[in-house]
Amino acid sequence: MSCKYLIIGSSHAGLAALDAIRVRDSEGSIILVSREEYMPYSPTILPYVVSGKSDPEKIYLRNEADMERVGVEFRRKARVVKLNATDRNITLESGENLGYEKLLLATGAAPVPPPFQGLKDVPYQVLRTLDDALELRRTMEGAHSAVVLGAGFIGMHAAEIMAKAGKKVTVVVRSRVLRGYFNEECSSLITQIFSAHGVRIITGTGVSRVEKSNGGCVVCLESGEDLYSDFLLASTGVKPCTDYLIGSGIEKNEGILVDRKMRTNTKHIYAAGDVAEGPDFFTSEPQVIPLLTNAVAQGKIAGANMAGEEVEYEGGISMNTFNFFGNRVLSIGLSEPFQTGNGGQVLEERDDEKKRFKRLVFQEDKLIGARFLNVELNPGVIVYLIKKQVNIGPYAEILFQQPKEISHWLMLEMEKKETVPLRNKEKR
Amino acid sequence: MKSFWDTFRIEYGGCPPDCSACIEACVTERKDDMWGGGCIKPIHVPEVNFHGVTVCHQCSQPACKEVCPAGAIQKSEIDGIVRIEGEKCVGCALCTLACPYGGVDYNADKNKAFKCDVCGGEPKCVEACKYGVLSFMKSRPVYGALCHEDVFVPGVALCAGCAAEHAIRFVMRIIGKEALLFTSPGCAPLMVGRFERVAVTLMTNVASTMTGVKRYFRKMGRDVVTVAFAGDGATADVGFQSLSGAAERGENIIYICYDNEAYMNTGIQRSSTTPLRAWTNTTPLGKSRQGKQQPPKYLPLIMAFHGISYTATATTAYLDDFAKKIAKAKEVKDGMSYIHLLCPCPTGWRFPTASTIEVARKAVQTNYFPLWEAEKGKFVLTHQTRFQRPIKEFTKLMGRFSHLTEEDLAEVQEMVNARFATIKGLAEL
Repeated sequence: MSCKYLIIGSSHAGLAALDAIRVRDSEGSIILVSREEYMPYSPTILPYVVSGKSDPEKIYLRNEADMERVGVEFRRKARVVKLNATDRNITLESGENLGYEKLLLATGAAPVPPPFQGLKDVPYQVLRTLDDALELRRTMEGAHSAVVLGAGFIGMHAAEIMAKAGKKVTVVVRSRVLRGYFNEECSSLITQIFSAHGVRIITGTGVSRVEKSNGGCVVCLESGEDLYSDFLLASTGVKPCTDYLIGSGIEKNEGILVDRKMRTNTKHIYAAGDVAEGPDFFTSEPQVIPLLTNAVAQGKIAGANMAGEEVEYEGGISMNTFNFFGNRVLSIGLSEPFQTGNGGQVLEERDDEKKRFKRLVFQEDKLIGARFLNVELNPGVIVYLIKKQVNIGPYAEILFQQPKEISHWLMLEMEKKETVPLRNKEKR
Repeated sequence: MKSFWDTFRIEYGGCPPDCSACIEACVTERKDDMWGGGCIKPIHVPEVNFHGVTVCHQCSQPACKEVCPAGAIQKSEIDGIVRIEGEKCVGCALCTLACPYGGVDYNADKNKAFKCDVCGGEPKCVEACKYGVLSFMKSRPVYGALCHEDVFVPGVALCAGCAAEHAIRFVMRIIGKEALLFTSPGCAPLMVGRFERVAVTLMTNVASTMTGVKRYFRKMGRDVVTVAFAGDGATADVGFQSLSGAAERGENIIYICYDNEAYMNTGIQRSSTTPLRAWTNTTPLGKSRQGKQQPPKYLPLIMAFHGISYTATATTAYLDDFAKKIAKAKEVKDGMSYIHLLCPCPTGWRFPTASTIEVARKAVQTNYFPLWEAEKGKFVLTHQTRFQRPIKEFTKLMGRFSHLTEEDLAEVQEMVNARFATIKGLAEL
């Protein structure tokens, strides 16, 4: 069996590529392959499945009728085990080969098991697939306490959900909360908010080993403390799923290396999403940015290029938003200027009482990063200012003081420059 | 699916400093909406005396929809409105991070995202606006309100894929059909013959003829818009002295040169704007010489240094940029406006008729033809490519460069780089 476009992976990157192809080529045959038994869904929705906010029956991004309408053959439970680039086909777990003219690898990422001693004997949970989420929900029901290993967005989100469900939650992290996104100042405010809601956060210590205890487990910390809990949730990061690429000749570093057109080193093969390592917006260096927004952007680019148009990716920008206990924290772009003292400028303000934090990072006259905790604004507009490299210059200070209004104004000014005053008002 | 829908029209920055009627109407309309309200945003920045308003654009490819992990956002195929299904929304607020225009908001109390739904087709904010800043346009008149009618609708007698045809049609849609059009022998007369207000002059005297007509009408007390649409031969070679004279005298005319880089209408003979090493019928590929031996005359800079009021370069691959320049040229009342338009010619450049736009785009992306404008001597690059492409990406698209060797390419690349450096230097002054 073969097709014109073969897409492996049916999450955001795969679906965005699918749409981008169909906009340009309404006829070409498409096969969409998923290793799961479900219709396409987003890993981002899973914490809400755990909390019960989302009905697991209603999280699907496409149904069978949608697939039929756009003329796509959707294959479930079809794990890819081998890519044969010279023969231009892939081998599924069932042994079937699927041929392609253009191939997109959007296989995403999987949790990295933490390297703690004893973990292989102690059952622990992760949160990456729908099955994980359903299992975590079941486990949670009978449990009273939980230990979360790692304090990234997934770990903190799970901690919030479990705390809200009345569990005794402890988060253990070697450095600090959300280290990849926030500096010490902001991170400690977030820690305070979690602590105020009964979540114990232990920072600055590693885990020496984990052990089974009756009905649950013990986490022994390097600090000497032993934590008893009913179950463990490991959220110590993800890494791209590339096991099927062995022997394929596809070049990879941490993820699959792609250029600005999302092409791999092998002809007719593209990669996008969490599995891809594409250019960074600021440095153009290859980087894996495992975030939904990047997956969508890369998927669109890959799809367009697969369908014959030439479109280039502007580069990935790390950005995220996280709502917890009625608070909202935002991280966009870089946290430090490229080189301090060399055109770099940072404006920062922290209000412990109101639990507010804001930080803007500039390089020359341009915004390159922003961090906000409990500041009302539309973050997409801030992203716009960074992406369009809007010259902020003398307005940096008022942007810092009133980020919502000034960011909108700067965006409107920029848009005005790009729109056309076609006809005079009185002649309308 | 429909191609366009009813839409808001917002007068940019037209609000009075203390008005909030629209937001009040919006909040009132949606107060019973359990998912939140207050979708339209007044933006007041007294520091720069800006008072305006912004609201969701109801994008054709909504970024908010693309990133929603819950599949809660959909664009209606019936009325084009982008709606959030409140039941499905989990309040992750990724949509607010994806929307570049601030069209979606997050309500922390209700833990939901909310946005404008145009009140189902009769927006209350528009009813509340007393200052004419907000209006709601039905789909049919939108296009007509933004552009004039197409005066060339019956069809034209030019080659398939002609960029000049696309360009003159576009120029007249923006300038308006009241303008007087001048052209000279070349491809353009084949097309503009259908337009009643056109004069076809000789190749030598386009600019001087339009000067006379303009002055005559001024004497009669009428300010008419005069537009020349002439090829590179009539502009850079044969008619240059009359053009240069009119520019130096500061005549209030709009002169658009459609540069297809050779005498295409008479059978592809070299002109002074034909690029270095390009093939034409009079610069053939021989044993000792291949293609044109001289670098092209860079006319737009020569025109700018006449000290005229407005000079610009444009191509049909960047129509928004072109439109803005035409509109600016039309506003000039104290001197000459000159627009140099790169017009890829499938017949003479030897490329497939479907590639016209791509060729023009590559010309800009390689800095072969940088887009800039100069208002009274102030130079600005109006479109900067983030990554300059090698010149080969442009030359490989067409037959007239197919004989180029690596040395030729290096030579052309060097010329492109040097010329771009000059323009960039002027823009940075």
